[in-house]
Amino acid sequence: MKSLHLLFLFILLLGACVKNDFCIQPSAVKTVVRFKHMDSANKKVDLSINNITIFLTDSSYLYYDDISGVNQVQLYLRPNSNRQEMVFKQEEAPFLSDTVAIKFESTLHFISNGCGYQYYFKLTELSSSHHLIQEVAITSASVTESIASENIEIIFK
Amino acid sequence: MAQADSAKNVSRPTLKRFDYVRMGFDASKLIASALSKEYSTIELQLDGTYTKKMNVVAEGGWANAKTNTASVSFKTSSAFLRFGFDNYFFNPEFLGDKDNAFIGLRLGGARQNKTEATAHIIDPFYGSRDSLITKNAGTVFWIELTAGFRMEVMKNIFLGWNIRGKTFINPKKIEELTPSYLAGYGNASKQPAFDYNLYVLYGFGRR
Repeated sequence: MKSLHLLFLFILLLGACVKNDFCIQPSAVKTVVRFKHMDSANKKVDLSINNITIFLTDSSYLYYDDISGVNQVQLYLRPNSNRQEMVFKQEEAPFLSDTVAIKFESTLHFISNGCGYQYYFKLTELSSSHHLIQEVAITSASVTESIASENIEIIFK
Repeated sequence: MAQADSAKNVSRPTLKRFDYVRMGFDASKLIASALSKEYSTIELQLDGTYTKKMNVVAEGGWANAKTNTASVSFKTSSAFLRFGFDNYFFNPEFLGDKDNAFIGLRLGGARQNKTEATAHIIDPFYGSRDSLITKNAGTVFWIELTAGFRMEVMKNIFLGWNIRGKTFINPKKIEELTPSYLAGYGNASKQPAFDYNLYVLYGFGRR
């Protein structure tokens, strides 16, 4: 009987420990865009670009401003939109810039009470001009908090 | 010898189901509700004799809760029912003795209604914003193992305690916007969860 009462007191103390909701998830998801080109064997290989400026047309933020050795960019897509355009400009030939248009769908995804909700995206369509860029393709359409190795590949000439 | 023979021949009254019934409330939940800013709840219990060592139990109640974190805020109201049995350990020491320890099993279910929730969505690039999540309702079930003790402190007045370990059967129903307090279960973000009760009961019927 005494052991039952001791067990009760132990459970009481356990119940008194309340875990607060806290969040360790990243705050917004990113779309990973990798740069590639075709080598002499016509095989796709990663590419580092020099003197590149990358920005979105609907934001004043510059992802890269005349930076060298860039092989990818991680974009934040706008949740209350379904289309954004990304501009690539090489400072060596500023008249040869390309615009990549990305179409997507956004949905609110519940993470936890502590982290709340976050927007996830599904890439639906991709197109570009072709001054610097040979081809664009969606490699992984789902953009979630698990950062994919690649969502979009851009193959440069 | 004649007295022993006559004692053997005295027929003991047969126990009928629900001969003795107890009803009461959980005092600890009333105290916790008064002290908490996040929830208020009431839990009631009804039990009746089924066999000499087993009682059938029904419990019910309701709760209101507020959940506020840095990212979401909403209110819930819920009502629950639990059914099960308590198996008593000891034989009565005398006729009408109801003091006993027990172990029991319950199946519980709660219906919860959530108000429209406000979600604060953090976006370092385009600016954080608030979004409204539509209200919804749902029913969730759980099983629990319980143990406890009942003691008759005055004629037909009982005090007792229970400890409970419980786990959801359909936890997906409660995954999104988990209430800080679900009637009958407690903190719904805990799986499994542990809980306790302190009952005050009144009994009536034939012992």
